Formats: sequence, structure tokens, C-alpha cells
Amino acid sequence: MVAEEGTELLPKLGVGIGWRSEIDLTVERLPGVDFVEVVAENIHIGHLPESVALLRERGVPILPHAVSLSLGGAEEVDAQRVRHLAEVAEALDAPLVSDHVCFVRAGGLDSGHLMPVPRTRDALAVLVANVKAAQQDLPVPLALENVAALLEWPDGELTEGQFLAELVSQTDCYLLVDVANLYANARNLGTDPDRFLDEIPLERLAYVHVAGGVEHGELYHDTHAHAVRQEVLDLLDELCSRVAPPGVLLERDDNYPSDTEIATELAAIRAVVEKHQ
Amino acid sequence: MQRPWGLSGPEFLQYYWIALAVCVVIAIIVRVRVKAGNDQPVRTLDLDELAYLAGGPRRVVEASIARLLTAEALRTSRRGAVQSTGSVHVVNPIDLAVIADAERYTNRTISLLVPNVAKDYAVTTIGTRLHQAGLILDRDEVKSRLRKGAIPLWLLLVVGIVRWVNGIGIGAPVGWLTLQLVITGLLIFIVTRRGRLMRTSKGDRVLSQARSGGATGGATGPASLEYAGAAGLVALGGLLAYPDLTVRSALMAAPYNSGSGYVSSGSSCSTASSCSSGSSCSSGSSCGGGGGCGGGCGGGS
Repeated sequence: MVAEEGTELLPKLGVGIGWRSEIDLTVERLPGVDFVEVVAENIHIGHLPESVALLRERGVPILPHAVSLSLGGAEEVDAQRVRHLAEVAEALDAPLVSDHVCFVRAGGLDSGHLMPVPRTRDALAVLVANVKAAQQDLPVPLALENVAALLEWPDGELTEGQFLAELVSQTDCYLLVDVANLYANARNLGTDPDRFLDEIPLERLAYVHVAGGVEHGELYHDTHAHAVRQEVLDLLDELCSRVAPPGVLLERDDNYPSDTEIATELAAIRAVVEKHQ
Repeated sequence: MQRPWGLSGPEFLQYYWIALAVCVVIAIIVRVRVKAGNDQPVRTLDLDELAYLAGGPRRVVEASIARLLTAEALRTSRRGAVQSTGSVHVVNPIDLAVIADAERYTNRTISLLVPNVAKDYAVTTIGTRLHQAGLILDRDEVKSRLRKGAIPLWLLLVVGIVRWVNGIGIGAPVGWLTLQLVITGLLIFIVTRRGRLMRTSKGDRVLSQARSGGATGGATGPASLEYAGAAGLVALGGLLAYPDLTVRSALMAAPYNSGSGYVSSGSSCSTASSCSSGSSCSSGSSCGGGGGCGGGCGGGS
């Protein structure tokens, strides 16, 4: 267990992979999977997938990762979605849960995407209120993840790092840093990853996401369906040079390659992490 | 006592029994000759041909699935849905057909994939080759020859029916004749049944040798090496013989009837997913994309 002064204990997670039903057997059998993450909305309480139940029996930490709380939205957080996330956390005996710094619906419409939040103090206040409301109903700590965006809202008052630092300061949440999203924002929006890492409170880092993507024209798309690029691993390396992350997780959501290729990606991630230990 | 056709009732019954025995012998001879196959020398079979010989077109697809799983060109989930990994270059035409089918559909279960690929030309052409080699029987040809072999029985039946009608007409007892007609009908049904008549005797011999560890035609050779491994086991024993118990259980998880393998039933089972998430993310995953990645996935988790 790792702990910072004045914070809750978070487990040392190691290197993990996102559990998906398409690769359930692969995840179960891959060597060196210390923890997994499940998409909370895909888990039905009382009907845990056999593979997830098996991993739980083995004592592998399973972290619910939500995609639908829409904490950055102007509307109040949907209590039912928070309750479901809480139930999943309890069913999986999860040490923490996570979602994104984004909104996914407004005016009754679902975007189908994780939309970035305007980095204004007003938007931060809304986000903070929603996060606090969600935290009240969650049995475990909440970690929030930086998203990849193709646009920035105008009139931003804070950098992304400052925005997240303020969010942590005001809600006591943890951070889930996605270095692939960081890379995507650097490529597409010109965000400075070093400044981002300088500005966020790394002591509140819960774990890290790593994923692959692909270039289309001048844009980089964080597809989670392609191989992890060396540049993303370099960003992980930079992060690990500043702090030992409790966990690093490979996300893959489509075009699943062979077990050997997935194992190779996990090994590459582990090599970066262990380089700094 | 009346003697229609110059024969008393008991005499007719006696001749009928004799004729019936002769007709059955003729039908049996035809059946044995159908089963015999041709006299071509047996050549070495590749794994796909051996699979076809052992279990028909479905077995060929099953062996291909085993080969692709072992090579990590294909993976299965616990619910028996197979996916192409895109990681391995395959050249075998059956493997290509399996990969193409797996890539054409999402959550493709083997219960749907196997019967579909079994109809592919790459598979059916193996059947043609084995038939030409005198190892398996052509379904239509077998049916036709068995029917021809039963012609004497049909003729005998017609004679018996005429005698039976005449007997009724003159008030003669027809109990025994009725029994003979029923027996004749049953025998016609039996001798024209194709049943499990799939391989020729030569095909049976080749398969038996392969099962006992040899190659084919009594000669050992490189083929015996090819029959090793998961694909070899599945070729001879079906998916139930896949050596990895967990993968085998996954493959058998979806409703699947391996059947005799030689007859494509054309049936298919629906294996609808129940993966409703109520999520705002249409894919149900946390996948990224940052927009524009297609597939309805979310935006940069």
C-alpha cells in the first residue's frame, strides 16, 4: 500500500490491462497482469461475467471505470448512475473508482463522446459540485481522468494542469492520468505535457492509462485500437521520472491483436515503470 | 383350391421368400460395391483432407479454427465468439475463409461460423478431391446406386401386391402374403438408406491408419508430423478433442452441434448478446478517439 500524508490509502496496483469481454480469456491468462479495469456501465450487478468473477477470486484488483457520470455537465449528476458505480465497486471489492473530467450529455442528448469541459472557473465550480455530490454516494475514492480533445473551448482561464490541480484541491479526488490523451492533446491542441505534469498534484495520482492511437491527416486519434506509440511510452517515462505511479494500465478497446502482441505491450510498459524503481 | 398363375398359395409364398432373399443379396452386393471405392493408389493427405475424411466439411473448419487459435491468428472469448487478431499472415485458403468470416461479423460464434465456412468452395473442393481419390462417397451418387440396387425388391413388391389384390378378389387367405409385403417394404427402406455411409472402405482404412499414428496409405512420411498438435487432434476428433480445456469449454459454450459433419444442416443458432449497458458511450467501452475515430466510440478516455 502507498499512502501520502493526509490521504486515504491507495493500493499498489502494478501493471494492468482493461478487461473487455472480447479478450476475457486473454486477460485471464496473460502473465504479468497485476490488476484490471472494467467499464462500470457494462457490469450488471448479480450477473458478473465469469471471467471477472474468476479474476476476483484470484485476488486481482478490479477497478470500475465509468464513462457516463458526465461530471462536467451543467446538469446534476444522475444519482442512479452514481449508485450503479457504487454497487459495482462494492460487488468487485474495488479500492477506487474512476470517471472522466468531461461531460457526455446535455439537454437530454447523449454525445456518445467524452466532451472536454471549458477550463473556466465557472465550469470548474460546476464540476466540483458534481464531483462532491458523486463522492458522497461512493463507498471508495474517486479518481478522475484527463480526456483527449480535438477542440478547446474559448476563453479558458486555466491550463489543463491547473484545472485538474484546482479540481483535486477542492474535491480531494484522485487523478487518473492518461498519457495517451496527454500525447493526443499535445499533438492536436499544442498542450505542453511537461507543464501538465509540472502542474498536476502527482501525489494524488491513482494510476495511469496507456493506449494506442493512429494519425489521420494532421490529427492524432486516441483510438485504443492501435499499437501504443513510442511517444506515449516516452511520456509515461517522463511521468515515472517524477513519481512512481501506483499502477499503469493498458487500454485496448478494439482490433485486439494476438496475445503475444498484448503481452509485448504490457512488457514494454512494465519496462518503463521498472526503469525508475 | 384355386391356383392363380398356376401356383398355389403356399407355393407362391415359398417362391416369394426365395426371390426376396435373392433381391436382398443383390442389394447388399450393390451396397458393398458402392462402399468399395476405386482402385487408385492412396496418396498422402494433408491435414484438411484428413479432417474432411474424418468428419466432413465441418470438421475441416474446426481443424482450421484449432490451427488459427494455436497460431494466435484467432482468439475466442469465454462465450465462444471468435475474432481475428490480424497479427498473423495466413495463406491456407480455409484459414483465409475462416478469418474472413470472423472479420465480417462481430461476436461471431463458431455455431454460426462453422456451418457457413463449411459451404465455402475451399472446403467443398476438398470433398471433390477425396471423392476422386476414392476415399469418400458422393452423396447423390450413393443415393442413386442404392436405389438402383433396390429395383429387384421393388419389382418383387409389385408382383406381391398384384397377387395380394387378386387373392382378396377371389377370397383367398392373404395373411402371410401381407406379412411378406410389409417385410419387403421394410427391406426396401433399409437397403436404400444412406445412413452413415460416408467413406469408402479405402477411406476407412486411411483414416484408421491416421488415427493409429501413421500417415496414409500405409506409408509414414512428413504428413504424420502435420497431423500433430491441436489441429491434428481436432481434425480427427472434432472440437471436443481440442487439448486446451479452457479454450475447448469456450468454443463449446455457444450452442453448437457438431453433428456427423458430413451433412450441412443449414441450421443456425442465434446467440444474441445481452451486453446492454445503459451507458452514454455507444460502444459500451471507454475507448477513446477524440472524435472522428468512427465506430461510435467515446472521446478520449
